[in-house]
Amino acid sequence: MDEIIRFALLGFGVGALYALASQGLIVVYRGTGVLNFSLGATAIAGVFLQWELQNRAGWPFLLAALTGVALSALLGALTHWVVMRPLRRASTLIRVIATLGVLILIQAGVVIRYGSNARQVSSWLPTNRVTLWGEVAITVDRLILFGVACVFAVLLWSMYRRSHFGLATEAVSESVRAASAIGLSPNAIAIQNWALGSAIAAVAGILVVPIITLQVTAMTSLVLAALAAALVGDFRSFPIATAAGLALGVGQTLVGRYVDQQGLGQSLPFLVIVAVLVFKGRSLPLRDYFLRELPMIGNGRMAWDWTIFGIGTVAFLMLTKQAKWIDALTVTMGVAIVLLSIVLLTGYAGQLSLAQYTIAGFGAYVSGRLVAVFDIPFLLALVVGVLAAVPLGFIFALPAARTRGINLAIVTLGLGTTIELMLFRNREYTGGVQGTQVGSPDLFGLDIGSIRYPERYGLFVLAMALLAVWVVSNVRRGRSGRRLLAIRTNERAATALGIDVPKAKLFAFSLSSAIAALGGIVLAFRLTSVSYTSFTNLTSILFVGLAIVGGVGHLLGAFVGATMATAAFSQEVLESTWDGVGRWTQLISGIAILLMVLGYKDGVAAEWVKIFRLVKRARKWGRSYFIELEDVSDPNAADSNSSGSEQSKVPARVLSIENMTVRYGAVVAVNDVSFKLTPGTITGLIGPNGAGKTSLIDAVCGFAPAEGRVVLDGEDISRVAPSKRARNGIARSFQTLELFEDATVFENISVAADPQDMRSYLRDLVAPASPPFPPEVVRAIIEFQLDGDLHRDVKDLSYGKHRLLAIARAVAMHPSVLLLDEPAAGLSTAESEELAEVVRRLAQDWGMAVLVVEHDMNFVNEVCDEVVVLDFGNKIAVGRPEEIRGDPAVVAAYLGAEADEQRSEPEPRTAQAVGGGA
Amino acid sequence: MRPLLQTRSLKCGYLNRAVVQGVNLKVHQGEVVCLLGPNGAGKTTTLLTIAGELTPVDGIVMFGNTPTFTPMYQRIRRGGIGLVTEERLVFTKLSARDNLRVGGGSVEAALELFPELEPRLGVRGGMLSGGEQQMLALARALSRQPSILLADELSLGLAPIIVDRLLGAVRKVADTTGTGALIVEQHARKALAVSDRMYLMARGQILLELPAAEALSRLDEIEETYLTGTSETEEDHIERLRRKNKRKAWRRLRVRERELTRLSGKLASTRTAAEDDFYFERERQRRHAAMVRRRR
Repeated sequence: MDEIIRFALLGFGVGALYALASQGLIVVYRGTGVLNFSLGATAIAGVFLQWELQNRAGWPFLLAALTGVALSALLGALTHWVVMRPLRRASTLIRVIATLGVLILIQAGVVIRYGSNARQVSSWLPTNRVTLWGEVAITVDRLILFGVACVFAVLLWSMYRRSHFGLATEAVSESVRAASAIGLSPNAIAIQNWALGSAIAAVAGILVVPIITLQVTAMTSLVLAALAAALVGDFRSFPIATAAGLALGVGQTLVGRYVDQQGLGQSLPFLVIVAVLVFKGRSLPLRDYFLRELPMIGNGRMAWDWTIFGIGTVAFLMLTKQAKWIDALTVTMGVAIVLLSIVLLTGYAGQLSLAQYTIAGFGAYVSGRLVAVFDIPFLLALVVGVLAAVPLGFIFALPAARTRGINLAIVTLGLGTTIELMLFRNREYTGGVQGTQVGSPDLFGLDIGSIRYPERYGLFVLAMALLAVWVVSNVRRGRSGRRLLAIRTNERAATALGIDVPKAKLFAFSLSSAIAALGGIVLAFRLTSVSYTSFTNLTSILFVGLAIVGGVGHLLGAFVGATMATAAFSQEVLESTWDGVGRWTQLISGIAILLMVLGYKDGVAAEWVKIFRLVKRARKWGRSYFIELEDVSDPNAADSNSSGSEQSKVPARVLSIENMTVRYGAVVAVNDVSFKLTPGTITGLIGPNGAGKTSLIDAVCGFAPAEGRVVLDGEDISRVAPSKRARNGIARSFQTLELFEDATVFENISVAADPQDMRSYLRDLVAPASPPFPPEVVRAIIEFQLDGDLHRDVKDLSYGKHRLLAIARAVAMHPSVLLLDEPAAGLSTAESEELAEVVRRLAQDWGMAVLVVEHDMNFVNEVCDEVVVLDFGNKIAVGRPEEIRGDPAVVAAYLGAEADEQRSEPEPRTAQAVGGGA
Repeated sequence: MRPLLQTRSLKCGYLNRAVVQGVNLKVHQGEVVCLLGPNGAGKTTTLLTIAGELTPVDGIVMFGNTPTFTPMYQRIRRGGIGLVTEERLVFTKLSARDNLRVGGGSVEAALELFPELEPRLGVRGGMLSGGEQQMLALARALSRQPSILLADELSLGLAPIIVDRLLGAVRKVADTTGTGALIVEQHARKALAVSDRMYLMARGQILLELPAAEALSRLDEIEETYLTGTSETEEDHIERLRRKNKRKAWRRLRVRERELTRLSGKLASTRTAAEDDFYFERERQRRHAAMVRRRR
């Protein structure tokens, strides 16, 4: 028992580091909403300065420590000012990658000045033993560390609760706009928080370095582990995070002592991360989920001439150059395969995974062990390795169903690091001291070993890269790619179109895992002895950075990014042109990442594509990108326009809403409302702002939890998943449109018109399907006059067309029930009259049951057969439009001024005013 | 008497595209001015431009005769402006008291204006009712004793009695402390009842300026002509694409202003828009002539 307590107390050392580092993370996160990966590097820079000043310049400890902390604070502030401030509108993804660039840059700087080897540092704290509770002996420094962590927690806690600065930070983190509206400068507050967070981390580093040894990368990986503690505290609460950090340190020490499983202790924090996020996540983003800019996406087409030119160039270089160039190209192609998996997962599907290289390592692990232990042929091992990564992708996709964005990134990081620590770093599993000996790979008897025949192996890797590009390109152009694009842009809209979002994510994760594994395998088999320790979590993060810099939405981007990897093409070019550059490469790549992230947010490839398009347009090259309706529609459907409306009639279904109540916390948004939507009629839903109209639509579609029943054709669907409801024939439009902005009009409508089958996920891998539009979709396109705009990007459309497209997309699903949320908002009078006409036709000719939420009373009067009026969630009236207009309750609640007259008027200003007003 | 707030041929909009044009308005000390108009007439755009959240496409905003080119938070912190918008600027996670404190004003002053907030001080902003939130926001803005209050749709979605309370508070502050107020309202009658003057805005232009009393007496006529229907503009749409770097645009305007001051030798507050055009035209001709001379 004593021993347990003693080890637990020993854990306070690293526990205090976790606690303080998590406080630093939280401070930065609260101030700016950025997850700061660079915190460890920022802190270690300060620690090194302190060490240098004290040991080489002979400064007293306290002065040196203060200078070190000040340096870290300065670096933090600079990071915000130079890097994060210009990126404040960029996507979370870009901002995380930017902190990564800072991490690489600072780390490289420290290595250049101090070298990368570990140094033992004697403790600055007293290390004499004291005895607690009679028996247990413990060194004083652990107690002091514990105390410091607690004191900091209390100080920070009270500062963020009491001081004006704390309140201001809270205000800025809640709403930048509201904060600047009361005179707070978001920038000044952000910069102070960055400096404070970095300073805390530096304090932690200086205190703990004697325990963990002074080394450049040590802090970085410990800060990743401290994420777990910050996460337990929800990135908000200092006391909880501190307690969690201390508990993690203690747990880690105990597990390391008593459980005989290598790496389990170290991976404990990451397991905690996974557990916390999987239990805490939400399954659908809330209504105010704010999407920032996403990286631009390419169209996934491979122009044959350019592809052949590229293959030819690479093959030519491989066949003619020396081994080092061939090797560099081979590495580039191998990394490109891994980056393609990131293009698919992060670019197309919008899921940020920070473990792709670990997955690549897992593929390499499986095939490497198969070859080394069971001596099976290389090609078979490769296939098995790729397939083995698919179930791993499933595991990664599970948290993705519940978490998203940056949380998902942290989970994947946690899972990946766990695999790394427990599998790759464990000698028992990786072939002992001599590593995994795979020998020379052969292909049907032909030796393609990279040592003897580098050009053969190079060509093989090139072929594999082509295969990967082909698959990813197919997916992008096919039905499954459109689904991924939909969930990337907007999960709510995707669900409303009947896309089963978790399944689509599962597909994205498993396919990208397979591709990453392919890349990992070809990279690993370059050497006869595979070392898995190179598949680190930091490389995973770096690869995402490379993909972003190259252009995460473009096939070409993977290759551009890959040239910048370690030992790849760019580095080779640098080294052969500039002697002794090796020392500086890390620094250069850090700066390069930062510059590119700041300059080209969409990546280099996107920039090239833009320029190329301009040139093409100027020179009138190539075929036009116009999409004609005739080309994409079913030829048999051509005469359906004239042959009457029978074909496009929708199945008649009655939707009734029974006693529906929607609550958000204590607020009742909709209170016990019932009404019925019948085929062929248009029901208007009106009410003042905040009356619960949108909540009602959300509840009918399954986006908001509701009590009461939603009955479609006699069948209670209130427990059915939102995407299933959509497939059953309930379509909706959104007040905020929620179009897929990066895609063309054609793709937007295709997503809705595509049948939501599972088969296309497999078929798209080899043959992307874009079957012609069925007649009813063609009719919808013509009805909304979008036939001339099919080729256009959504962002190039006029505002009115945006609105029409949003409705057309819902109609293209051929729904029985159509729920329109403010369809006419922002349309000119003429446009809204036209829209009224179309909506009436949808009900009369197509037989849809339509619900219209609208503020424009002219529109409501014109189209609606019946009007339901909501006020504060209660149904206050129902009837024909002309009846409603006269209803005094409605007038009082909604139509305004006249009814107020009878109530208390504020003191009139002048006698004249009384006369005028009465 | 010099006006607290003055705009000169202000063009407001997004992405350099003017949604509102030729706005010339003034607010004097102790005066409540309301800006009326149908939906989408550009009232909110104008107000946000004056507050500094949006950059003017062209024209000048002057507070106390000084052209202002600073971002919103600086105008509010240093320039003594209070801003209340339709989205209640209440921080949901902070308590009502902290909400008042974070604004930098005194809690007592706020409570003096709205004593009914006192029992709710410990409640988190998110749990207050809509009316209480708006009261809180208004109290916070007024507790800092601003020289001018800008209020956008105070009444949106609130019960009539609360609206009276809010507008009454604005009137009272204007009368007692001499704060000027520019309020944008949908509720024409209520707004006119507390104001001294009104501007009527439709389709991105100020069409009418009347004393409130006269406007109130002719309200039926005005409503019929201007306030019915909506004329929504593209502003929502463009909002997303809005100019990213405001400072750059402000710099452009500041340079233009400096140039004009140099050319005319007069400050912005003493010039008229016609003079601006005149001086620019003269400068253009001078440069043109110089160029022609050089060519020869």
